[in-house]
Formats: sequence, structure tokens, C-alpha cells
Amino acid sequence: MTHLATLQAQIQQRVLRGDTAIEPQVAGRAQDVALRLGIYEHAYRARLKEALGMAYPVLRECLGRDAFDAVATAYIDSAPPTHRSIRWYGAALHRELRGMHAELARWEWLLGEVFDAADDRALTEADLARLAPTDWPALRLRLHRTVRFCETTTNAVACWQAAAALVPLPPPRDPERLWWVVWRRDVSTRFRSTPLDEVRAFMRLGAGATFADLCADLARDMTGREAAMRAATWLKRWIGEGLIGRGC
Amino acid sequence: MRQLGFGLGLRPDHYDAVLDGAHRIDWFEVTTENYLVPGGKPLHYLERLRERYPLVMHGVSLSIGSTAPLDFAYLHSVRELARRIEPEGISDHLCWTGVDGVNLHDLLPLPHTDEAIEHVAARVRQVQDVLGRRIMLENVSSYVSFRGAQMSESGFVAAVSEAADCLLLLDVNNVYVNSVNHGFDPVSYLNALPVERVRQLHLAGHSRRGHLLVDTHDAPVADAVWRLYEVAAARFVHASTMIERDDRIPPLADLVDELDHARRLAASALEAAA
Repeated sequence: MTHLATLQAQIQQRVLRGDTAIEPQVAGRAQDVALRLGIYEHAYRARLKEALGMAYPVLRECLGRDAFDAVATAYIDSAPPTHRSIRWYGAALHRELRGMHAELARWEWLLGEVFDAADDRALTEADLARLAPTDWPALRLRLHRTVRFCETTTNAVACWQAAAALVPLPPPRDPERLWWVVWRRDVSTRFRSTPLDEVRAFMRLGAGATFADLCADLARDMTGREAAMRAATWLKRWIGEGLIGRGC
Repeated sequence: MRQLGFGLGLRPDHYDAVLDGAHRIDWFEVTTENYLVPGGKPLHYLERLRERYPLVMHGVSLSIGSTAPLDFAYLHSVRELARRIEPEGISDHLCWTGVDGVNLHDLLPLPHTDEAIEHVAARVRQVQDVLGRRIMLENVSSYVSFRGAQMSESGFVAAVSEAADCLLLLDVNNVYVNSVNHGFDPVSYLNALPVERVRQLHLAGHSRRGHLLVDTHDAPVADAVWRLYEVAAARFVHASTMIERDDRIPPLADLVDELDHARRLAASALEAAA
């Protein structure tokens, strides 16, 4: 190992774990050296905590500053950053949490992913109007590239909404399984809860199903006419919401 | 990089204010990593800003001095962003940010040795080949210096720029902070740098921790830094000036006023030097 590589490994171990091996390499008196190295140790943790606070603003409010600080400290100790951009630090913070707080963490991270997900053009009703009736059965729809899904079993999303609206948090609720679809329209993030059959339809679209496939899936539980009506109703809503991408 | 005048660091807090009228701001510096994202609001605003202002990309994660291998995936994403916004210049820091797959997100100091010069210069040449242009390297603030140093900090910065044939971004606040932390004459530091390579000047605020100064970017530019800036503005006449503010960010108008102060000082310094 070169002198430079050794020096860098020792500094990094000091910042991450407080190792003292670097100290003889640093100019100055021992007490002063510790003070100077301490600036780097402090800055490292402060910067990561700030990044986590920016990624999880509602979680921080819900937990309270001290509890959030403890969670952030545990996470920083267990997961040194590896990405070039600090924006990606903290994806697995939910592992330090349980119950509603874990789901809230997952939710806030998902919102962040949608915030700067790849841009996409949404399919419009005018695009569909150009289709010939014979094209419909083979029509393959694809989800808008910003679309993400999330499952919750607590009222984490209700808590997030309350905190975002600066109103008191709702009390804990009995477990209730909900699915959410989250997406972006232009630069504004949107979400809504969605029934399980619609989630299944979204998943089928993601796997390359045609409009006829969707109708056939639905027809297992209803008449063919009802299935076609349900699929058409969904499609109209999805187009209106900007959930379907345009082109391949 | 051509002389752009007087600019500010672009911060999301100011997106709307910047786009909402005409300001006495000649250009903006953008933090590269903030825009290495697939899409959405950051790139939306960046492209709208680019229609109205010259931009310079300023990175924090190149880790040019690290002994870890260069991250070519990162470099290619920087090149892609540069293709998209056509910046006037691309800069990063003369430092390292991590080894062994870790990125500490801190600008860590290099020893002032021949070994470090050779190491950094070889990597800068590779980076410049990938980006297809010369980059600017910024002198960083530091709180430690290493035993076995073979030269002064200014000698190290100058030697790297010559060996790598790169440009320099001179952070005047960092020179002042380091002059206090390590006990050297800041004017001698400026005089040791090659004039033709310094193309940009940074100004920022700092704070005090005990007998040390810390580069916090959370306060207005200090009086002592303004005095040093007068010397720098008279010497580095090809350099564009900008003010960085990353914490306790004031309204845009306050930063524009601070930028006006830089304009006045630079004009006086140039007049006095003529």
C-alpha cells in the first residue's frame, strides 16, 4: 500500500469509527490533533443527519428530533454512504424502525423516488381517439415511468398527510391493508389508494398484457360485458390521471 | 472558462425568485450531483435557468485525490449532464472523499507531497479526456496538515495545476480559513498561484470553533475575506466571481446585495492596480 493509500484508509477509519492510527501523521500537539480531526468526524455525521432529515421530514416530525437523531445515528453507524450523490443516502432507513414509522419511512422514500424519476409523456384521450376499433384488443398500454406502488398496513399515509397539512396526527388505527399508486404529473407528485383488483391490472400492464388480457382477467369474476365496462372505466380514469405512458 | 462576471450558487430555495424577474446576477454555479437524477423538478428548473443564464457545474464527489479507482459511471453521468446544459465550465475539489467503496461526502485534505501531485495529475488528465475539456480544481478548507509535507499548500495547488494542465477555482474564503488554521500568509498564497490558470473565485462565510475557523457557508462573507478578495480580484483578472451559501440561506435579494459589494470591490481593486 502506498503512503497516500495508507493515509486515506486511516483518515476514513477515524471518521467512521474514531480509530487513532492517523494521529501520528497529523502535525500539531496531541490535544490539538484530536480537536482538528474531530471537525471531520462531526461534519460527517452532521451532513448525513441533515440529508436524512431532508429525505424524511415527516418521519422526523413524527418521531421527534431526539428519537430521529437516535435512529439516524444507528443507521449511519450501520450503513456508510456509497453513492456519489448524498440524495441517495438513507434508502434503507426503514430497517431501523417498526410498525407505522417503518411504513412512513418507506412512504417518504418512495415520494422522493417519484419526485425525480425519469420524465415521461402521458397518453391522452386524443391519442386513443386515433385508434381504430379493431386495434383495441391488441392495444398494449404501459405505465407512466414515474409510477410506483406501495402497500401499507397502518395509517402511515394518513399521518403523512396530516403532518404535511400541519394538522394534528390521527390516532393509531387497527391494521388495514391498503395499496397505493404514486406517480408524477409534470413536476407534481400525486397518489391515491387503489383496490387490489386495480393493482393486479397495473401489474399485468407492467408485464405486457393487452387490453383484451385485462378484460379476460376481469371476466373470471363477472360477465364479459361488465368486464369490458370495468376495463374501459379504469382506462378512462388512468388516462385522465396521467398514469399511462405514451409510446413504447 | 471565459470571464462571466458575478454569479451565485443556485439553490432550490431561490428557483422561483430567480425565474420571477431580472436580477443583477450574471451567471449561476450549480452543484453537479443535485442534477444527476433521472428527471423531475430539479432538471426542469435547471433547463429553464439555462435558457436565461450561463451555468457552471461544480461537483463535490469526483474524489480526484482518492486512491480508489476513478468512478467512470459517475464521470459519464457528469458528461451527460454537461451535454444537456452546455456549461461554461466544470469544476470539483482538490481533495478526496472516500476509499474502499465509501463516499464520506466530505472534502478531505491531501498531503502536500510529490506522490500526491503525481497521483492527482494522472487522474485529472483521465477526467479531462472523458469530459473533453479542462476542469477547474478548487482549493479546499482544511483543519489538519500532515507530517512529511514537502511543500506549502499553495505550492501544492500550483504544482498540481501545472502537472495536470488543469484550471483552478480559487476559494478565497478557504485560503483565509486555512491561513488561520495553519498559520500562513494568505497574500503570499495568492501570489504563488499561476494567474492564467485561475478562472473562478469563490466567496463564502465561515464560523469559528475555538482557535480554528470552519468553512460553513452559513454566513455573509467576512471582512477579512473581503480584504483578501480585493487582492485576488486585482491579480486574477480572468476569473469570474461567485458567492456560495449553503445554510441559513437568506432571501435572494440579500445575496444580490452581497454580490454588488463584490462588484464594487473588484472594480476598485482593478482601478487601483491599473
